[in-house]
Amino acid sequence: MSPPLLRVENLRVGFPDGGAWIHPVRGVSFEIGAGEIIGLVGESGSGKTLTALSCSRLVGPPARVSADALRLGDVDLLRATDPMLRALRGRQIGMIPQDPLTSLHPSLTIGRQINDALTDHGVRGGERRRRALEVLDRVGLPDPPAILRRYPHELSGGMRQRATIGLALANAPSLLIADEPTTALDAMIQAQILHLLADLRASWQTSILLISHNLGVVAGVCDRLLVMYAGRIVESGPTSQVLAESMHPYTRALLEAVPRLESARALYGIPGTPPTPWNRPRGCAFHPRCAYRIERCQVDDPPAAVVGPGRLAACWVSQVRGGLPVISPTPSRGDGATLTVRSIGSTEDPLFQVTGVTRHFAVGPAWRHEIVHALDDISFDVHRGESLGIVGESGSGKTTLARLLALLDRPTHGEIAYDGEDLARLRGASLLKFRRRVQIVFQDPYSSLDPRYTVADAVREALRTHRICPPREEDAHIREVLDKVGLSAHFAGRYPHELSGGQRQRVCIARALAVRPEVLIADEPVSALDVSIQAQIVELFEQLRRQERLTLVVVAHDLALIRQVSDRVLTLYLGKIVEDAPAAVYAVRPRHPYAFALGRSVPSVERVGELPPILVTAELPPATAPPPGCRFHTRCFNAHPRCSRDEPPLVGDHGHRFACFYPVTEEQYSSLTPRTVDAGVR
Amino acid sequence: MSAVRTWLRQPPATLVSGGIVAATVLLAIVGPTLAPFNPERPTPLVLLPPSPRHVFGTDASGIDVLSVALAAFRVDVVIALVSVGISLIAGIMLGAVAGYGFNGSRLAAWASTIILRLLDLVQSIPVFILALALVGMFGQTVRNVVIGVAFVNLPVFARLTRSAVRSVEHREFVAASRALGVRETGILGSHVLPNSLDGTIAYASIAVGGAILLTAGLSFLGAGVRPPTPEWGAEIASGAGYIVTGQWWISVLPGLVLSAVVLSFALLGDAARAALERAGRPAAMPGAQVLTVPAGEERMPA
Repeated sequence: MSPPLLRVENLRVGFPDGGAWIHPVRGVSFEIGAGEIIGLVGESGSGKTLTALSCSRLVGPPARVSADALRLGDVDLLRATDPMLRALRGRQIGMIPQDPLTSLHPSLTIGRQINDALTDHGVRGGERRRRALEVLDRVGLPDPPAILRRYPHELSGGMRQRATIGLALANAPSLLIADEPTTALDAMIQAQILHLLADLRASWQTSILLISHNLGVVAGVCDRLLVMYAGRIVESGPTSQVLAESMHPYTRALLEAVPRLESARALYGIPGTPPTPWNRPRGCAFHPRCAYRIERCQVDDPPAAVVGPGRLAACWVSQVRGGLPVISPTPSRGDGATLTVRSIGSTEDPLFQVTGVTRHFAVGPAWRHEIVHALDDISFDVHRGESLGIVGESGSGKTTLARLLALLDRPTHGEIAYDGEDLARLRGASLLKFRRRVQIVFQDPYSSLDPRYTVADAVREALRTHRICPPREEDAHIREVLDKVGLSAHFAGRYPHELSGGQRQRVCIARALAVRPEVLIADEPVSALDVSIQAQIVELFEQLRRQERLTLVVVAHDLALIRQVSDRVLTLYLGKIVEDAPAAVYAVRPRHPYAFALGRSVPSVERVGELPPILVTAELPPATAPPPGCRFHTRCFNAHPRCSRDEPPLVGDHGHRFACFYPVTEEQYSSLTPRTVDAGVR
Repeated sequence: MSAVRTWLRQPPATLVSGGIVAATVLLAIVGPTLAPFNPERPTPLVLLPPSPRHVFGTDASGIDVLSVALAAFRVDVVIALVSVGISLIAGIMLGAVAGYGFNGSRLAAWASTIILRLLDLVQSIPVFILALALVGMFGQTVRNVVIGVAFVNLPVFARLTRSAVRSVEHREFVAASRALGVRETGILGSHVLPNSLDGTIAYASIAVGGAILLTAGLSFLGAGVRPPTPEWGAEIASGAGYIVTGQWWISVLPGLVLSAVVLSFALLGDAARAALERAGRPAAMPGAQVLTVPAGEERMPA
């Protein structure tokens, strides 16, 4: 094997913190070979972004970076001067930042930005234009000459991320550092970007350090994985081995925490929260949350030790035993089986009846405003006791629908009835009664709690509004409802800024539960949370459903999550319901091409080395001008001329309806499968 | 103790201006009793230059300038504080109504439009001219000066509150309370306003400086508090004619006192605003310094 392209040995990053030093990154070592794709996985705060930035020496004062070795090819990055580093960045190391919406200069054209990047590295004249066109073509942007003249705001999110990658590739760097390159993107665009990364390696021999919190994303493209926790790499090795036989309890716990589209099963939320650099536990940083811990873990921090060919793990248990014992890491819950057997609510008892609901928004100035078709003529029922999932890409209208159901917004046309009563007619006492019966939990737990209210005050507001109990019983009630969501009583006096994201989301749920609702609407309830915390919240939802007989309506873009928590799934596309199916059917045999394409585009930890197929390439049409006929026909692989003329009705039976003239065929289920990644030269 | 240490870490400009503001407020209470001479009774000792006995000298009526400068604290600073207090409260109320949408209420939209157009009307007239006209119309009493100064300051407070209310209104905790069934007025009073006032209150400190300047300015033009009430603007005006003949102290020394006070209020306001921005930052960076709880404390219920 040739010498590694990047060698990092014992990297430490420290920040001054009132006299002392804290170390968000403490002793990270790894290598990247030429043409290799390495995945760096970890939750927020684990130090993965700092590690990546240190590799191109972009961590500046007051931070202090030290390492036993930090070399890129022949260059010692620790000794390199600023001019040397500048020459290196872009030319040798390209960076793809996380957020494509803010990482391009908003007032320069794409062409100008690529030009600047090339000029800085001495490319001159006509060569610049040739190279710019080449990279834009390389990243799969249609009509490169036109893109060069565009400003970032004229491109869609996916195109912007491609342009950002093009910018990073302009000088053909040998190493590409991609920091969560797909986190801000929808599933179908994510699949396209992953294919692009795999192609880059195959044709240009680019080495890639891919940082992600999503195990499915790294499983598809990475040769090797590095799992980070609390500033250290706790496990590393070939992707398939790390995922199949994890040698560190954290890796295994992460895998248990990810919902999967293929099968609904009990999730395992890692208890507690990741430590911060300010208060890392003694011994192994993971031991307070670890199901395997032995006494030694509480005293000594385990070093990374070889546990197999090419594999390292920092765990006393696997080092002593030569592997982790094959016990279920969830000894506390033996009722996993009950979760997969679901009770479909009785169809005679609809709680919500949504009939012909349309919601349009006017955007722009009054004299030439455009109409955004957020929802168009939607009809469905929500039955008592069921759990309904609503999925779709951003812009599909799913959040608008959640807000309409919670009566935070009113439809432009159509009627929503709850328990037989038209919501539009509710006033005074009957409105208040509806508010008590239907509660909503929002996406962002950081903004859905008033920063000036303690946890107890927030819950108390709910109790007082609906006169749930006399004032002197309030404290007991608050304790009880906090207990229900798994928070101990002394959280009552805390303010939101003292809580982690998962804890805040629990408070939001507690507050909703305090008024004993019948329906809980959850709008992207876990998308702002870390993987291990997501599983805790999902578990909580499952539990509440069983214990409180709640009807759930969950809105999310994460298909596996929806599969996990719902009995029935509505798929929305550009303001229309395209499919309404039982969750099990939806996961394996959706009939509408859009629902099918969306499901197939989700990368899975179970398919190592395979990328989701790209079934849809065209861009999402603007919601101000939805296409005539079937709204999906512009991107559909089954489209016929008829689809652009007539609108397919939403029909079907046995609780499975879809709106398509030419649904996915049996043959297509087997032929449109994931693609195996071309491993390039290796 | 830690509060003292935090305070001492502030930049020197903040420390000095904070000290002057504290002294100003103190002098507004005890200033007149510290005056070595009667600031309203003329004496034959006219136009004496500064000396150990008359540190700021005397003016054309033989009144000790230092005594006037000290006694004027009570007049100018009290007028400014009271008028800013009035415009702060009225401005917050108007701004809240103009900014909050009451969940898309038509009536609220109309009220908002009307308030905003009235504010435009007030703001389209130069502040000084407007204050001059108000005091001229209703008479030169302390009360009318207070009302005039309050009136011209009101639009800024109303607009600041309005824009803050409009941004807080779209935070999710407002929708959360709405979905809970809390009444709109309740949401405005207990969630939106408390989270909207930081910037407005920081600005109040800057406005106090401006109000002192306006009060003094009105008197300088003879449209403010009437003589013989000791007042900075009037004293500066009375000395203006003597500067050319060399008796500079009558205008310059009270003017320096005035400048120091106004500048200090402005600097303190800036510091307050900067401090609020710093305090606001961790909220924007989720999880920056989250309190971590041991695993046992947070658990799934059985």
